[in-house]
Amino acid sequence: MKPSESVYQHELEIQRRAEVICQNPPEQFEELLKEYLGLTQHYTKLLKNTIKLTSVGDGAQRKLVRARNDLLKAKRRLEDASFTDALTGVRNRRFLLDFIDNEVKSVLNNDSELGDHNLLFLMIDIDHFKQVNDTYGHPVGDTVLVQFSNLVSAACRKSDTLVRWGGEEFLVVCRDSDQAYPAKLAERLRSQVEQNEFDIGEGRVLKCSCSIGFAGFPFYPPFPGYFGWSQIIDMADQALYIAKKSGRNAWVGVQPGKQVHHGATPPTDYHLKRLYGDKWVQFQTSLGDDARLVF
Amino acid sequence: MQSLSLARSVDTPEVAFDPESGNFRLEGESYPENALDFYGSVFECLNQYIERTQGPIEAHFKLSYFNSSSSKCLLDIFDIFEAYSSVGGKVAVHWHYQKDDEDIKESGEDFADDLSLEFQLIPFD
Repeated sequence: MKPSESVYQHELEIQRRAEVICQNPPEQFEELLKEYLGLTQHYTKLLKNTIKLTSVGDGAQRKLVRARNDLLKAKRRLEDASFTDALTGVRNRRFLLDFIDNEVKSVLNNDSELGDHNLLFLMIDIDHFKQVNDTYGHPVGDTVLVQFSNLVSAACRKSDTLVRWGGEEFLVVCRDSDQAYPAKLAERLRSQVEQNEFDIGEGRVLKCSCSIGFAGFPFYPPFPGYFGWSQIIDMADQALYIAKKSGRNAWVGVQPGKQVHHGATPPTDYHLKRLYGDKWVQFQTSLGDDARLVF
Repeated sequence: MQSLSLARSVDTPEVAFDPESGNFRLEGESYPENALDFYGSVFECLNQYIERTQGPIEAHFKLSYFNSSSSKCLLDIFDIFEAYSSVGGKVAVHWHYQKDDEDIKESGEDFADDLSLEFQLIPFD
């Protein structure tokens, strides 16, 4: 007997008794009527109990479902918090590590004839931020970081993801951007930051500038797996530091150079100065001319 | 007659019955794999009590979760109480529920429905 059946032992006994009565019904009508009334009473009680138990069972299920939903909500909130930078509210590095592999896969799996499937990595750093912290203190530095991230976020497309990469360095990841978008976005960010007056309280404002480096994935479309996403981020970071060395308040984008079209296999080394020297990369910059870049 | 005392486990509630005072208490969560195995001794103890004495029963239920088989066993406990009450025994049932636990409150109301017993729903914080 199943455990759930055993709690109905008494009811099962009555049912067996009913079967016996049906097989050998008493001949006297009065006796038959008495058995009939007795069984009807049992049936009525069983029906009432069934209705009660169904209602109680529904309540228990509702309680469990609600508890499960509360847990799921809490889990989502925790996940969201673990992927969010506590100060600025933008995504953190852990979020990037979690979502980037799928993004890269979807870029590599997509048929390029259907449109531009790519990822753009744009690295932004606030110029002379250490001085802001040293002069005004960390609370003011934090205020600037929050306003800066809000400004960058507003300047990006909704589909772009802003990540606080660490300190005053931010990374924008853009899906499927057209060729003109990286330079347009970089210039929009550079000029908006330059023009912005950061409100640091007590009626004071601060002017800031930023430097930007960017590179796209896949870097060499004929060799889509050639540089991995982390190497592309590193390239964007190197480009950012070239922008810094070249005077700051500037952006530098890395693109495949002329050498790619000559059929040779690109080098595995992704040091920008060497790649540039061998014409594996070329630069696009707000400074107008490659010659103004300082490595 | 001996008193009954079953300690709480992961899937069974704490159950206590004191035949001296007629105080019955069932508290915790109830979802044993075999409900009859657990509640069998409870039925036995209560049946013995109502056969041997005419004392009152004051029952306290303080459950936060119970499965369907346990619900059936609770119905059977109320049956015993009702049978005792129908022959003149004095029975008072107190159904305790956490203030914001509407489901446990409603299940108490379900059990109380059509039951000819003194049945009180008591919220606690």
